[in-house]
Amino acid sequence: MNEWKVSMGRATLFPASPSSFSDISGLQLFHKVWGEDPDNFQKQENPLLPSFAQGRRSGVLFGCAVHPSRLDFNFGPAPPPQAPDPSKITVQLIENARQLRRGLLDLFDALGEGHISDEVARVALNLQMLVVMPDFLEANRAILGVIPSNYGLQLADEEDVVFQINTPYVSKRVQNAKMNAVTRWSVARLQVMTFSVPAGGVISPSMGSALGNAQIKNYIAASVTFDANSTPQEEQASSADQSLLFREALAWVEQRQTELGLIVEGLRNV
Amino acid sequence: MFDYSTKIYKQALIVLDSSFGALELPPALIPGSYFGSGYSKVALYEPSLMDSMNTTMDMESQITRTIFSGAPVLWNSDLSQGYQELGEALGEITELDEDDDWRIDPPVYNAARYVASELMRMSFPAPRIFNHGPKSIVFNWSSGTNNLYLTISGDRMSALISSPERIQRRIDYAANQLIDSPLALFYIEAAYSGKPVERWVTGAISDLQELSA
Repeated sequence: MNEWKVSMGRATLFPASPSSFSDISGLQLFHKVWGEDPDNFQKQENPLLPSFAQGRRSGVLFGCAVHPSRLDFNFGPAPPPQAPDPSKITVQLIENARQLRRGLLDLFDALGEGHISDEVARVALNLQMLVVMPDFLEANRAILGVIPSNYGLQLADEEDVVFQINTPYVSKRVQNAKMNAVTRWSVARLQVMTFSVPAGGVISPSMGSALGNAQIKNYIAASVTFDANSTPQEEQASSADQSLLFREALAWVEQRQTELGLIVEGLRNV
Repeated sequence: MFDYSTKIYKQALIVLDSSFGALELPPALIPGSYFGSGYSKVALYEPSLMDSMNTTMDMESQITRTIFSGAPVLWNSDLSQGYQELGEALGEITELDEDDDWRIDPPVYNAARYVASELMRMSFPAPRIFNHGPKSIVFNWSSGTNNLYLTISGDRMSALISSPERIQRRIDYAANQLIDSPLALFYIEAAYSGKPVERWVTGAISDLQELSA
């Protein structure tokens, strides 16, 4: 049986006006949501670039980025504490989906308590699950195993498969809120590039370029992406509404992944 | 042979269109350049996995930070030179003394950088900026003898297309349209370039990449 794992997650808030997030930094945001210091923080180097902060819990990277036009809360697999043997490098996935779920729920709690912003036009939740397969034939089989048969899709060794549907729903908890609920099945070629950078970060001409000493490995992966996002509304989403919409979106993802047979441990509706 | 004591290792995950060979990396996919010209090439890659790549870049920054005392500098190279200068200029004129002719009010700054970031995301060429008092700022592009002026205030935006002979077109946008600036900017571009307008409306893509020329 294929073991699907989460490769990344992202929750996004879109502002209701250009000034909605102007007083927020990545550092403040990280504190507000996860109540602790991040492992690293990058202030805004240029007004058009984001500030961001990152930390980790039990193998999951938690990050937030404040862009001029959106707030992103990113989740991904934490890199191993020590550089791996280059011959053993593979596609990193989140091994502890329960921790990812906990991080999302902390975010939704923080939103609901009004710690971030009431000036939000849209919310979006995106989770991607992957399984690495040896070739396109196997990857297509993996995809077919999690696509409902009523769609009648037949695949052999085709490449670059993408199949997407939207099953929008109306929020049961937020008045007049409609959510897009997109499921996207795809097979893609991944390239993992590992390269070394000298301590200090400066690469002299004599050392060649960073790309020149890169080790590159190719993988084929089957992917299922869930994207639940609210449609643009005239009215702003209050803090409480943002939290409710995200919780509904996560419940949809959990129900959907169970229905499809992905069965990611730790990311199931309990 | 890698020397673990003096080197760090970054892992970058790149999603390839099948037309790319293993070592044929387009410049937009060189780590650290994701927010640069890569946006103009988004269509080449499977969108959901571009998101994954973005996350991986963040991880890469984490690794760098752990090893070095300084913050990663990759982000600076992510802006084209034009937008980097535009961002710096916007930052500087906001911090000027109140009686300085070039100073702009904070709401104007917020609106200007919002619009600029959307312009960058849509791969517009970086504009020149003109001073227009503290209450607004003007982005300008020239094409031959024609000019496009985008006047941005805290809650409004106005596009004016002019030739040496006359004003050819003027479009005003209210506050609630400013936040949907991709749509507004797309129509501006269409009017400016004379290209027909085509819009793909799916309403489903969370990063709002739903416009196509």
